Amino acid sequence: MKDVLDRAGVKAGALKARFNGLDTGVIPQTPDFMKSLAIEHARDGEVMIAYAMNGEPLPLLNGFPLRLVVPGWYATYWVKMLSDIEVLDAPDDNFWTAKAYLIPDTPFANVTPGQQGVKMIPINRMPPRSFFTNINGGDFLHIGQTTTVRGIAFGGDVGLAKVMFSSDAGNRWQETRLGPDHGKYSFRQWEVPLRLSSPGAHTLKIKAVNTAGSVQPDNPNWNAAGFMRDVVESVAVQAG
Amino acid sequence: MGDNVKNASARAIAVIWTVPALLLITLATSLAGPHASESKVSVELPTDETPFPPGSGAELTPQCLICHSADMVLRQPPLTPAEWVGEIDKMRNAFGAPLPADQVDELARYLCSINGRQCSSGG
Repeated sequence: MKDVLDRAGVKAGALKARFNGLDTGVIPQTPDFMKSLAIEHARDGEVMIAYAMNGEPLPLLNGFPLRLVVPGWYATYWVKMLSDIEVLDAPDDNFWTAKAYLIPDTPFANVTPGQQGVKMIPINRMPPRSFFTNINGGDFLHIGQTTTVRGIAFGGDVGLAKVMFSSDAGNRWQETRLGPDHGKYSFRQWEVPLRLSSPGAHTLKIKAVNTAGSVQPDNPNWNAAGFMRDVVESVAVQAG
Repeated sequence: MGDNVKNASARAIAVIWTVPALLLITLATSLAGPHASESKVSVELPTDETPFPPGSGAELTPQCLICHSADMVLRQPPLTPAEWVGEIDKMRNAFGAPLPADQVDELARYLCSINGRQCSSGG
């Protein structure tokens, strides 16, 4: 993206780069889907125009032929079928930036239901998250046998620092072993051996920490649109 | 260093021309139609067969289906009639749903009957 903008020439006073794709609403009254980024962000050398994935042209459902990639930012910015780039010298007032995908400007985008007078801003950077991939709620584990608990995690807008696991509902935490690092914006596998010693219900939890020190919260955030859910994931298992 | 600069500018030019080149190729293949030698890709889009449940007001729901599935409505939290009015007005005002203003309340009552709470109290 930087190469394209530099080649076109960005003049002093540029504020935003706005991106439009070939997709449209079914009826003409529906606002055309466009997203914008600060011009410095668009020119940061990381935001890119993708024309291939894994050495192949992009699949149609992934935005063939060109798609905006905004590492570390929510997918609403990853405009598919990218066809048009505008440089604006004023804030972007189009519906999809000014009115849709807004979050409360608070830590974790968290407010209390019904809270009024909160400043709203466009959704932006992703926080760290982690997930179980081989354990389901209600799974049965044998006492005294070692199970390898596995999952994936990412750091969000920066790299992943560590992934912490708890087998006692969050009282004690231990660090998991991380798989290969494919780059700071990539998913990364984690795994940890687990041997439960008492029968009955156990709650397993997983928590990611990123290199900026951001940690998944123990309690879910709340906002009207349900954006930015990043609570520590829990899974309840039975042992016997 | 000269080579590096040359390589860098060559890369930049390659990148810059890849964009319009790809767009041109896409346009050319679509304009050329079925006679051109082109590779074809078939994509099966996910379908949604869930209908709106029958009930008084269900005849208004084709307006909803212009843009989204019935499933999308049924997967929302249960809303009061007043909250459904808010959702319907968002669809009308922000997205241009062609539902006349005098049908909003009837649709809100129907949506409450299929996915709502406090439906009789008026919200």
